[in-house]
Amino acid sequence: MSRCLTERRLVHLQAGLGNPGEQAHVDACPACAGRLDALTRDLDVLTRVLARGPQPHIRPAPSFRHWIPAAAGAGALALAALLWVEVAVWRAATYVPPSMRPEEASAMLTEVSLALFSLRGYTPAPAQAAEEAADEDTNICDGADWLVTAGCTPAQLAHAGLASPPGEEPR
Amino acid sequence: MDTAQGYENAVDSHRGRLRRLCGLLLGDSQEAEEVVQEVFVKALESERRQGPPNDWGPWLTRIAVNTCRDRRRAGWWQRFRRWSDQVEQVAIVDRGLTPEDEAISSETRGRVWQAFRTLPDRQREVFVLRHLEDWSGPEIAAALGLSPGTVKRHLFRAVHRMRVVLGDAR
Repeated sequence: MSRCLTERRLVHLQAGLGNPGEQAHVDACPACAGRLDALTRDLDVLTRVLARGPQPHIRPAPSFRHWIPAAAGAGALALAALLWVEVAVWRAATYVPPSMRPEEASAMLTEVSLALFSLRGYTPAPAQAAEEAADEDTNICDGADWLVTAGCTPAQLAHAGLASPPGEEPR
Repeated sequence: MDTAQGYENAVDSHRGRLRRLCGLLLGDSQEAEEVVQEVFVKALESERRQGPPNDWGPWLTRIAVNTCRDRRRAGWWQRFRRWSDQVEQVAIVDRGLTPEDEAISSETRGRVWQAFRTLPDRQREVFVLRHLEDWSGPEIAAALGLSPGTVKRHLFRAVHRMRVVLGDAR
């Protein structure tokens, strides 16, 4: 008896591509006959499956870890969109009246801070105090009659047109 | 029989077979239908240039196999397959289910199709033509332009790989 056929020879024989000697061996060898039967059964299953066509696939539900990058990306996009709206849209669309320049606001806030938190009482800056004193000196006798203080000299009152100069009759 | 009549007869007699063949090679029935249309257009153009073939069957089969191979090798086909693997597909061959068919588990069918799709083009073509189209070795060799020895080699490798998968599924 010749040696048993290899799987390759059996495949060829099953496909009708063998030779008469191989067929004769299979007819005489129960082991090879059994292997050929098994091969035929397997091919029957394979052809049945393939002839039915591809089976329907069910789309698997994506696992939670697949959502993490998507959620992180969506969050980053939302944050970027908010920042863009704040910077580019909101500020451009909002009207800020030019009531106070930045340096004026800064000076005012400084004065308020000094007034609120000074331990020894608030005193205006020297330059400002002198300016205010000058304003008082020039304006104290310069207003309407009912505002004129008793400290005004006749000359000052005359200068303001509120009294006659010395030596003249009062109006 | 005039040329037009021969072409129309060939379309009628080979359309179903080519649709099934292309469906197996491509794994998608809709794509197979498009390829079959393309095959008949190519066949008509070729027939007008060179005249009708001696045997329509192998000639149309050769065109269909080459067209399917061109589709699979195109870049967009790979992308399409990845997505279409997820969607429901219709059976290519409409035949009643036998008890033997019902006995094949869903897992086995999935494994077989997965293995079949991973076969190289030539192995897949030879396997389909031999075991599903029931062509002989010399006919396959003539249709694909291969030597008989090459056909036997591709056939053995395809059967071996498919059987390995089948053994794992048991």
